[in-house]
Amino acid sequence: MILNNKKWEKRKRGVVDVKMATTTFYTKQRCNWIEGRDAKVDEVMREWMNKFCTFQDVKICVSTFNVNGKAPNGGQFNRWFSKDDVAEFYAVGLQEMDLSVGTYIIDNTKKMEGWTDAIHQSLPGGRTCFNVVSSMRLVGIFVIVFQSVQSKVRVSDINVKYVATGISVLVNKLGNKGGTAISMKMNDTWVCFVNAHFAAGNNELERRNQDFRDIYNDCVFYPRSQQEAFRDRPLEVPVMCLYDHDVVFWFGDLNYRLNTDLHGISNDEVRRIASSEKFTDLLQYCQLREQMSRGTVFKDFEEPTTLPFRPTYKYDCGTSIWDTSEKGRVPAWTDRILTFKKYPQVGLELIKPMESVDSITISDHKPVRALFRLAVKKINENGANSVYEEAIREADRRANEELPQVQLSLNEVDFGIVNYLEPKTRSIIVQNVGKSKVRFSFKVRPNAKNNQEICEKWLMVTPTHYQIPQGSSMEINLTVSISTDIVRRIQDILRNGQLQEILVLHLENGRDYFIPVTAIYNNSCFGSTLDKLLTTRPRKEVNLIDFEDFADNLPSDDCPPNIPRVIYRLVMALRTRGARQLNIEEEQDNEVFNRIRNALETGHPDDLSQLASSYMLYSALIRLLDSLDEPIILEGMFKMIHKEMVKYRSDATQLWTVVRSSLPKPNQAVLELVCLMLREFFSQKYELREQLSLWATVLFRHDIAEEKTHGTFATILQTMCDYAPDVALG
Amino acid sequence: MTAAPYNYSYIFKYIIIGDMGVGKSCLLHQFTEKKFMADCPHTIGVEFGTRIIEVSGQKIKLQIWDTAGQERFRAVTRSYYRGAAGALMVYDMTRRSTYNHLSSWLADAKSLTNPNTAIFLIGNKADLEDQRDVPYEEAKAFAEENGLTFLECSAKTGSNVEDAFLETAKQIYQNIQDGSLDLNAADTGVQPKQNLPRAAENSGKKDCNC
Repeated sequence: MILNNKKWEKRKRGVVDVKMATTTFYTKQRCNWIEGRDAKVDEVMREWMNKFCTFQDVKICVSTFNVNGKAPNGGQFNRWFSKDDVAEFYAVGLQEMDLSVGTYIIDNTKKMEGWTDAIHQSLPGGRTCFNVVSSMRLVGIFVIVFQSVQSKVRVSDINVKYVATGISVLVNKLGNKGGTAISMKMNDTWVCFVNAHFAAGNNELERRNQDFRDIYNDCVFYPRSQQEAFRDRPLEVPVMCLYDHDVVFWFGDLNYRLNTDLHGISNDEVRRIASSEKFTDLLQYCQLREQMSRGTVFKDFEEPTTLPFRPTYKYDCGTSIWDTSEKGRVPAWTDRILTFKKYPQVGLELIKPMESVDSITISDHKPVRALFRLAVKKINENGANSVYEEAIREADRRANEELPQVQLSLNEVDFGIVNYLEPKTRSIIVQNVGKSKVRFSFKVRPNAKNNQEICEKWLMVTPTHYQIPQGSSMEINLTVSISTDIVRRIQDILRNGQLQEILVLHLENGRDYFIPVTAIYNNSCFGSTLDKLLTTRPRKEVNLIDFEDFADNLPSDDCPPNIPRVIYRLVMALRTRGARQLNIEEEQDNEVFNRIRNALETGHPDDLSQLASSYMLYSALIRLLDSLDEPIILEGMFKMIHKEMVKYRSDATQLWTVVRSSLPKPNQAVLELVCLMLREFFSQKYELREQLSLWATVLFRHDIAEEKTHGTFATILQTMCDYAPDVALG
Repeated sequence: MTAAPYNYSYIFKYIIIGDMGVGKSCLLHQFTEKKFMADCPHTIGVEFGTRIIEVSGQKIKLQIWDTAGQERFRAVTRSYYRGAAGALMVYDMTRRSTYNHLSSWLADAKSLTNPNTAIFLIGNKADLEDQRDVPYEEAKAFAEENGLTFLECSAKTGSNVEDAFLETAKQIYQNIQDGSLDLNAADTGVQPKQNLPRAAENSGKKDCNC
């Protein structure tokens, strides 16, 4: 927060700082349009300015001069201002007008009067041709504005301001550096003249930058006309910052030096170039230019590309000879004139090349002057007010038209049938059909259980946010993927038998699109329950001859009634192939997996042993058991079954007794079948015993994070595999 | 009367709710663009429009959120009620079912917005008088019972559309003036625009490097 708080507090209390407002012509605000409230309305009003404004060209001469504490001694400077181009306004900024110590404490106006007279006399035609509009002084930093007596421009709302920067002495700042400013309205154009003296010294670059920021920041005015209009709403009285002016002239001894030493150019060499016709070459080393190009200071200010005059610092007083003192300063363009325009249409032009006045030798600096032409506007209030109402409508229209617009290739995404572990992807093309670039993002689903997710876990969206240039389009991919995690709680996720989700696609500063996403989960033997698997018959394939009852035509086998056929078929296929063919290092192949799943569900081919590798069958069996809603070895109430089994982990008789007395028949049967298979496998290939802990996890689904049970469940399973129930139970 | 010397000092957020096909989007377009969209597609999401209006010499910017009416989006659209200063609850006076659903829309509006939110009941399609399915008096009674302001209007002809939005703004403005709407409370749907903070913010942004 930079605008100092004290002032802000004051504003909040509605106290108007009267000492800042000097002579002000009372003007009643009659124009309804006040700039700065709504960018769109301002834009339209500026475009339509010709409808309600008349413009008048006004010549303004600006000059800055560091006078090195010298008194004019009643003299005048005939060549300071050009006699050929007489301007309507003269704005002059002096620095070091008074160097005497203590000026700040004992206010000495003598020098100011002397210089005011000298400048006044030096104006073309002399003092009778010009009136002083206003002036402001901070110690030796003095700014004054004159207006020609013939000028028809109505000057109003004059406000002045000083900003001291630099060394603080107790509460106040010493005021040897800083700025003075005069803000005014020329007809209806707001103009501000800022005269500044920045920190000196080659190495004080950062302090100069800070001086700029401090002055820029504290140059805040409280125009009386605005206060009048806001009489009943003191809290809302607008303030005029520098950038609220149509034009700002910023001039002074900015003290930016040349970085020639960094480039190994000696002082002598600089002086030689500065004295030659090639002096403009030195501008590339100017600290101010470098800082401006970096955007650190004078953002949005302008200066002519080349400065067609020699460096204005430092000379031996009374001569035009480069400083011969002990310090032997390197020449520099310390004295500058910059301009700021509020918006591009403001008619401000430099009508003559900027120049320095070499013939004035009173100081160690040379004065710099520039002649501008400013198109000063006059608002026709009645016209403006009617245009204003129209402009609001136009601004509304543009605001609505400029809202981001996209076209979606799909308003709704239907994935059709989706299978377990078979991801399916659809894409939506988002086309930016609006008038500017569009940023979109998917909003976190309202009422989402997990507040971070934009959608349910079965759906993936990429990318979830992006930027689309105007006229371009991009693809958003939606993928439905039914993992084991999801399939186990599929019944909770389904709504009306479907997977449903609504994505919220949000356009930054614009509307939201809802994208309903639906999919039908293909009820699979995966993610089912043992009971369901026992009753499910294989689905008929569409192209199959329509048998009366498909199940009747199943090959007869010895699948026990308590074991789901899908499990039985997988186990039998694995046993047929034998453990030697099982290579657990094999790669997972999703396509093969889908083939197995298809065969399991259609019952075709019934014999799986030739369909896939042992490993793929083996992993399909694990996935199948793992995707069941509950583990084969149920925990039991209060985990009683697991606790019992942990207790008897090495006692096969007890374990099988627990199984037989506690687990439902199908669970018992499946467990016995799996143990039988594992027993065969271990005998065929000993190292497969390493798979015990994996199987324990599948069959028990115990909490593997629990350290104390680590390995215990594998032990239980090993015991049960080592002793078949008929052996263990006699 | 002295003209108000500023563009707008408040931003009001509105929501438009009601069954599918009652003409919510058409009302928005009629209000913001003074146009009738004959074949307005169903809003699948939440649309957005703005307009600067004048109430008691104050410029006020309305930010209007037009929501999807389809039942399946109901859960999602509920999240847009928050922070609305005004709610236009619309039914189609030629379709009784849309009127019958009002109590459910009203329940949402009351439970999801600020207690000071100005809720207006709008019977749309007043141009189709011969197909009227909901008597004026009945809707009027419903509105009175529930403390709503009631208006019949036509997004097609534009009749009463301005009033619907402006009257809502007047009511909100009145609530601010008499203090019943506390601007410091959260989610009022009113953003006061003050000039000083703007200047302060901007100057800070522009040049502060602390």
